[in-house]
Amino acid sequence: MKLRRGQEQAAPNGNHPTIDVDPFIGDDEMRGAVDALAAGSWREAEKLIEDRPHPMEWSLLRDSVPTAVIEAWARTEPSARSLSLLGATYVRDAWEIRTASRAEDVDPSRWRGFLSKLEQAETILRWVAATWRDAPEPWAPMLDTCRGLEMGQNEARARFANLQRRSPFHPSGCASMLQSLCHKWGGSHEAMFEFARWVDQNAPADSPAREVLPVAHIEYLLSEDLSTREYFAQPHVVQELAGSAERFLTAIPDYPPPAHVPALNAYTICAFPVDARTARLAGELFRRIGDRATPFPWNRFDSDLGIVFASTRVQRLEAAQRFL
Amino acid sequence: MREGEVEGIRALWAEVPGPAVACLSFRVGQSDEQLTQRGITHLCEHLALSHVGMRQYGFNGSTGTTVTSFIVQGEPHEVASHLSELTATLRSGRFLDRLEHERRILEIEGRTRGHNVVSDHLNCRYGARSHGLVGWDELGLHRIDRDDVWRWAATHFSYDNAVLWFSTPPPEGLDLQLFEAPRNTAAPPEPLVTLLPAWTHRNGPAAITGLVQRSVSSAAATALIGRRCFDWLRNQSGLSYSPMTDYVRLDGDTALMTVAADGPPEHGAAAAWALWAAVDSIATDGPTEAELAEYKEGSRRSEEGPHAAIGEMEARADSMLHSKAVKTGEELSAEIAAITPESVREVAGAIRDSAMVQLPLEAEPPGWDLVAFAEADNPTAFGANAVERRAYIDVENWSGGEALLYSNNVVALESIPRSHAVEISPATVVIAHGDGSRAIIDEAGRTLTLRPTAWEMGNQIVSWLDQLIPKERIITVATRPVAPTGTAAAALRTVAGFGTTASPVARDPQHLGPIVLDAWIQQALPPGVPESRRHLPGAFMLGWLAHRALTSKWFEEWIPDTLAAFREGRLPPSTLYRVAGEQLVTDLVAPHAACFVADLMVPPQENAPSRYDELLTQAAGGRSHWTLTEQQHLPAVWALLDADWGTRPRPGSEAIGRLLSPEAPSLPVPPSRCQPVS
Repeated sequence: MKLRRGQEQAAPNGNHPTIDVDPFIGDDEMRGAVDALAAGSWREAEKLIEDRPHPMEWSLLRDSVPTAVIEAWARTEPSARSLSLLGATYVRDAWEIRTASRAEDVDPSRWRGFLSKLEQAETILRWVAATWRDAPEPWAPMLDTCRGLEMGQNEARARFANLQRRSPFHPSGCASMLQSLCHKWGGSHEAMFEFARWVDQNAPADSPAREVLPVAHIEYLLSEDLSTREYFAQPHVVQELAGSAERFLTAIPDYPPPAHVPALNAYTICAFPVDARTARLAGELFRRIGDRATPFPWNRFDSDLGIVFASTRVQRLEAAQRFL
Repeated sequence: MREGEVEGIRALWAEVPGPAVACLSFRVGQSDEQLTQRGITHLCEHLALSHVGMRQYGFNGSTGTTVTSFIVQGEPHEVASHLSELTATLRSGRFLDRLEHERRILEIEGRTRGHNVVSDHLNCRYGARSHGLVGWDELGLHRIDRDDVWRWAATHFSYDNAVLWFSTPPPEGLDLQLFEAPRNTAAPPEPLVTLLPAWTHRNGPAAITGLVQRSVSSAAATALIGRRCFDWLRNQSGLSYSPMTDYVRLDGDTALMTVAADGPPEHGAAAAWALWAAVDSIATDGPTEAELAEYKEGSRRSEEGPHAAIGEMEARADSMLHSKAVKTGEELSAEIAAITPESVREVAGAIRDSAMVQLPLEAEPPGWDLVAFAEADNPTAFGANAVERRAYIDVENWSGGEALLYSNNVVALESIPRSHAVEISPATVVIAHGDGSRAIIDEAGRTLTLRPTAWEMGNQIVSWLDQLIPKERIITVATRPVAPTGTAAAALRTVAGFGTTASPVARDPQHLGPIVLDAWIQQALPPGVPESRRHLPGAFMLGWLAHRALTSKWFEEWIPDTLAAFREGRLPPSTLYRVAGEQLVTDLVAPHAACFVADLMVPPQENAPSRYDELLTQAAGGRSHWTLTEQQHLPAVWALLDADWGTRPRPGSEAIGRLLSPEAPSLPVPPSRCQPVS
């Protein structure tokens, strides 16, 4: 299976390798937090996720727990964390109302619901930011609402500056800011790459925020509808991404914690074996990930995460053999 | 300086050279009012002085956010007689005789009063309550009566709620009569929860406001920030002629710091950046030792001036009114001497954290780390089980996808991409205009204006609102500043809509029944336009329709006495208009009359005169009709209207029905860059 955008793959017929996708990527603690939250044990859930600000955990919570449960949590235990998560959940709900169709294909009746929900999220998040002035939590989803409500690049930059002041190189915030700077959201390729390279050069070596550099390359090739293999085989692209990935791999543990896994997945998509260095890099990336495939950014290419990940792994590792 | 009690009032006095000065202050101000009472303190202040007339000595009254003061300057006996007279006027209730007179004076004063940075920003920070009321028109003048005024005066203009100071020993002959009521200890509520610092586009200069706790350090920080702004904007960059700084005491605890820079709009963004940089630099690094020393030296010099004692008495009286610890001049001097760069830096930090940065409308949005300002806690009708109505004001709005939604908790105007909603709560106030429109104002100061003729079955919405909102929170105001626009078909729908008997699908106006006339005034009145012109042409058209018996039978039945008085010439059209607005919102005129009015009032092209404008000019003998008064040109214009009415062919039932019931095109998808996120 090749990485091709928007191409629906045939159902597995035995020819495609696949993996069992674990939404919690082996993180039992987070699984416990979600279960506790769903059962109404807010305190227990909060304790479990207390020091885990990574977007992976946020999106797991957001995507695994019904809105009503988050609403109940926020009502019972209003805090920067619970209310910001509620805001983030409303952002998710807004996109469910809108659907992921292209703008011109969205049913007009859905637009009002989409925008109302985003405004609801924006209202809550602004209130949280005004009440807990030092809390970084509301600022990352406020970048999402800023984008959805089309508030513009200046507003996005201002929000990111506020987030950066409160939590430097917040992974979720950096990822959202990158989206805001994309061409499809009114930005430009230049602005997107400028931001991604700034993060890559200034964030700590083990920062999960560094995923923005491979994601920027992915956004570029999708936007320009380029061939994945040809794009990632270009020497200057290889030079930039391989260097960045190697620095990241050096800085993180041999068995990386869940927080680092999304960035590993992003680097892996970009890692085409074209020589011995990239062949070793691809092998190392797949080794560190194991079976912990994350929906983003694989879902930019295919909806079946298990198949696209496993197929890509087989192909890339086979290709790598030629150089080793 | 002496402190004691004079005529049962807490008092301060000192021996200051020059004429005698005295000030009688009360702890009541604009922020003690409700929106429905807005202006009542100002009215009381005017009424207390309304019997004084012209005098040789100087005097004045002022109404602030929490303090109302009467100041007088002259010979000691003049000071004594002035204060005695005004308190006697208050206590006796004699002032109530001048209520209508002063109400008119205040309405005129209100129209000359422009909004400024301070009032606008207080409105944003506090909404339609407490200090935010400073930014609102004196709407209470439209509804408060003698009982309200008497009750307000008796509650607040009391011995215990007053402080008096003199620049001489208390003069002979004082006889101060006030009410017996407890001291006002009300604490204004906190600001609304809004995300600050933030920037906002406003019709005004580049400016910054910030909230601080009152202290000598706060006053120093304000002055030092202002000094940097002046240096950078005037002396160094030449972007502004007179950058200004202000420190407004809001109450006993809080003050609002303001810095603003005049100058051309194209330099607005640069000026705003300079103001922000001044705040930010002092908040980050504090002032230099030299800056602070210069400030302290300036303060020391002003303390040595001959009138320093008056300033000290003002400050001490303010503390006494707000039940705060009273500091002597020596104590204040010691506090100023003890100000450090660190204490100034802390205050500047508070200003930065609470800053609202204003850019002129023409200026580009800033690209700094300031987020855009948004109203506090914007409600939404989403999921509120709201009833929905579609706009049919004109075809353009249909395609805009606008919808009005209302439930018992919220009224929302929803459109793509933004919606606007107001909350319905026990604090919500409604302004009822004479043309049947309603402005809903919630506690946060959000306003939504509803025109019954702009929505399907709009009369039902207005009737529902009138039932939902208690009468004491409905303020009736005659005119509403909008002008009709659009195509001929849209214009008819601008001025006329379905009555309660209407069916949305009916095409025959015979079945529609009488319809609403939606009148208006011109949006921008040129300078020098007489007062009566404000009530035109809505009042005139209603008057003419009533005169020609083209109003509905319900209209005739509901206010027969008013109509009779009007037809006998005892009431001007503007009064009829106001009474009609108070009494009814539906079923006003016959469809063909509404069609005639629409045709008459809407210019055939943008910026061209309407037929009505032409008639006014004609009636004025070719001169500009703006100079005419209501009394002068009413008969002449009505005669011309009669002539037009007699000659113009009626459009016919079918044509009117077609105009009133346009086909609603389907909603197109708005252009958007929206793409799915992963």
